[in-house]
Parts: sequence; C-alpha cells; structure tokens
Amino acid sequence: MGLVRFENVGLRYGSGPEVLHDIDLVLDPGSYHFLLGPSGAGKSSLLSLLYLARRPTRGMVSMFERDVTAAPRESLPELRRRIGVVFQDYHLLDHLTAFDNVALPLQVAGVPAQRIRNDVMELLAWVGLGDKVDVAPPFMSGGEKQRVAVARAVIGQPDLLLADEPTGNLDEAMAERLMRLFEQLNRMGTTLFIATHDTSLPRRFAHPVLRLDNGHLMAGG
Amino acid sequence: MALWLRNGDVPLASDSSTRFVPWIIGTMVFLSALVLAVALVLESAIDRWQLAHSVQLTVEVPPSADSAALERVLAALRGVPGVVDAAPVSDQHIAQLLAPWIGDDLELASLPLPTLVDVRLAAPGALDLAAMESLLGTVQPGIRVDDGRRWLEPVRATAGALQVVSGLVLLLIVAASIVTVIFMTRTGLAVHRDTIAVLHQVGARDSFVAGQFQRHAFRLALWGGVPGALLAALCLVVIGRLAGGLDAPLLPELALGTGGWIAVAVLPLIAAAISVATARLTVLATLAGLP
Repeated sequence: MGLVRFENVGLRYGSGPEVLHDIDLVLDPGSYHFLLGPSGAGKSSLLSLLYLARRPTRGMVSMFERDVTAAPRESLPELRRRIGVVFQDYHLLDHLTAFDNVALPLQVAGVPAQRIRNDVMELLAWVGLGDKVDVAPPFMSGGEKQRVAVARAVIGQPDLLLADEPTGNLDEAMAERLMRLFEQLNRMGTTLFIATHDTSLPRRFAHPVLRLDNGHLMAGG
Repeated sequence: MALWLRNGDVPLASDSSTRFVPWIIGTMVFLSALVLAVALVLESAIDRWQLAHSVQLTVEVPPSADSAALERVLAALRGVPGVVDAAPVSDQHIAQLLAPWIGDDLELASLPLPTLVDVRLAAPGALDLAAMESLLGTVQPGIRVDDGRRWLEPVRATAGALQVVSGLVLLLIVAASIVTVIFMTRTGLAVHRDTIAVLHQVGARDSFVAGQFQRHAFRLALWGGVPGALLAALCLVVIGRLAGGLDAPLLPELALGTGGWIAVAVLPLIAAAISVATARLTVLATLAGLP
C-alpha cells in the first residue's frame, strides 16, 4: 500500500461542477513526483486533498495507510503533522515573527521549547534568514517569505512534503538551493510532490511527472 | 526569542470588534454585584427578623386592666414554661415609639392605650403559644398576644419574592454575558478564518485553537470584571453608610457581611470562568463543522 493512495476520487465545491475527475494516484514512500498543469487545471484542489484541507466528494483517499475519506475529524491533526506544505502565496501569519512562523508546527505538536529554539534557529540560518529571526513577514521580500514558508514546511521532518510553485518567488541561486534541499530530504526518505508550471524543473531533476489537465490526472510530461 | 514571550497564534488582541466586551462584562459584573447584595441583605434581614421574633413576643393588656391585674398577668407569664422574663414597656419607650406619629408633647395617660409587655423566651419554639393565650385569657379577659407572625409572614413573602426576582435578574445577566461572548467568539472565528486554516494545516487540534480564544476571553472578562466589581463595592459602601444614618428601624441593615463581600470579590472570576467555558464550547462547536 502506498503512502498516499487515491482511488476514483472526485471533488466538487458545494453544488458546483466537479473540478477533479476519477483521480487514481499512488505515492510510494520515498518517491518524488512533479505535477504539471496549466492554471485552473485543478493542481491546488488536488493538493488540498493531499494536505487534508478537504475531503473528496467521491472515491477513496488513503494517507499513511489510513482511509481518511470518512475518518473522524479528531484523527486528522496527527496525520497533518506528517505533511509539510509550501504554498504559492506562503500562508504565513503576518503578526508572528519568522521564528514563530517556523516554530508553529513544533509548537502545536507540543515539542519542548529548547528543542524548538535550537531547530528553528538552525533551519532559519540554513535558509539564509539567521538575521531575520525577529522580523515579521510584512517586512520581508517575496523570496524571504518563501524561505520562511519552506522552513516551516520542513521543520517537522514530514513524511510527505507538498509544494505549490515553490521556486516561483526565488532568485535562481536560492531556487537551486531549495531544489537541492528537496533532493536531500527525498534521499532521507521524505516523499515529495511538487506542483509547478515550470517545465524546466522536471528536466533538471529526473523524477516522474504527472500532468493534470481539466481535472483529469495522467502520467507523463 | 523566549517562547513564552511570543504573540498569540491567533491575533485576537488586535480585534477592534472585541474592544466593547470588557465594558459589557464590567457592566454585567457591576449589576450582578448590586443584585446579589440586595438578595443577601434581604436574606440576612429575614433571618434576623425570624430570630428576633422566635425568642420574644409582645402581650397587650387592655387599658381597662388596673395595676393589680397587670401584676397578675406578669406573674402568670413568668410562670409559663419557656418564658425567661416578662416586663412592661415603659411609658417613656412607648412615647418614643409614638412620637413620629403624634408628636413629642404626648400625655400617655390621656390616651386609652393598652399596656405592652415584652416577653423573652428561653429558646425558639420553647413556648406553647395556644396554652399561654388560654391561660392569660383566664387571668385577664381581652388580653392579646402578638408574636410577630401576623406582620412577619407577609414581609417574609415579599422579601422571598424579591429574592426570586433577584435570582432571575442574575440569570438574565449571565445569559446576556454568554450571548456576548458567543458573538465575540464567532466574530473572531470569522475574522481569523485564514489563520485558523494555517493552524489546522500545521496539525493544530481544535482544542489548541479553542485555547487561544479561551485566553482572550479570560483576559477580556477580567479586564472588565475587576473594575465592575470594584465600582460595585464602592457603591455598596456608600449606600451602607448613607443607610446607616437613617432613623428607620424597620429597614434591614444595608450592609454586606463577610460572605457577601467575598461573593462580590469572586464575581469577576465567575465571569471569567463563564466566558472561558463559553468561548471554548463556541469554538469547538463551530470548528466541528469543518472538513
């Protein structure tokens, strides 16, 4: 059984039309996939199912060998802690500093304060934000926010890392560094699933490509 | 940065929509303190009246009785089991009692007034009243025993009704406070929907989110409740002092006992506890509807 398994999954918002159709997807532990597709193809909707913000309107979704299609709400936080997400628009909390934003996953998991401090400082230094620890997102550039978002996504050493256009706001050097980090995490066993419209990424990093077109998922680039 | 210095994960303190809440909670605590004081003063007064009239009563000897008859009545009274003492009320005391109605220049001898006899009992319920009335009737016809029940019962009923009304007002105040906190919490949940979504995405449980609202509700309740209780205490002290200067023996003593002051002091904590519980239940109930 895969780390993630979708069987015949469909998703619609309210009573609107279906935006994802008959999705079958298996992500094995330690795999690395790129998801390509034009804007409006349903990439964000598929990601929202993967990070458990939504439930499918039909079909079956299994995460970490648990059927989450109709799992009780109380069981989801534990699963979400095993998933890191880098959003295209960051989803940072503007009233918190970079330190507190990155610390958030550890804070909600009840990790001891000293370990939080050590891990967060180390990771912020690694992403080149050691001097921005006490700076809040509104006072950061787009690239700096993106790095805070990446740090928050990986601080909890997730089993599954999802990213939506992770290099979109980074300069070339930082984008390269970020992709190398993803490679490193993948070698350490983290499963990666990266949604992007940058077709150069799959060419530079040889990993399987999935294409989403008009709500239909297919293999190949 | 020390973690205990960090901002709340949901920035509720910056919400302009909750700035009115301390004023409302403060007003509720102020009103609760006053209503509670009324209820406690009434209860204390009823207890005192009942205690006083359970160990003393008044016997009215008709004006037609001469001094020898009065002595016989007194002797009969002192011989009744349970009676500690029986003594006629002095003319001077009667004149003082009647002065507010018929003035100071009073010639008691010119009025056909009954002679009043104060009777003190050994203990509440130590007397067989019917037997005593029967005995006194044989000593002096027309004699009347007033044990206070005739006027005490309606007063007690009225005071009891006032206490019930006080209780209802307190319930209304609590209900209004709960509605205020529910409204505040729902507004906060709507305003900070995106922040809460991020917290959920990083693995926060609903109880973690509820904790943020609970702390906020606790702070707001104390921020309003403590001044409300202090203001109420000040008012009660002033009312007590003003009432202390009144020459109105039938009025209950308008001062709180130690228990009453403790109750007033605890009111902000009760308001905070109600606010915290309401905020928690509101958050959990609202978030339960999410995927």
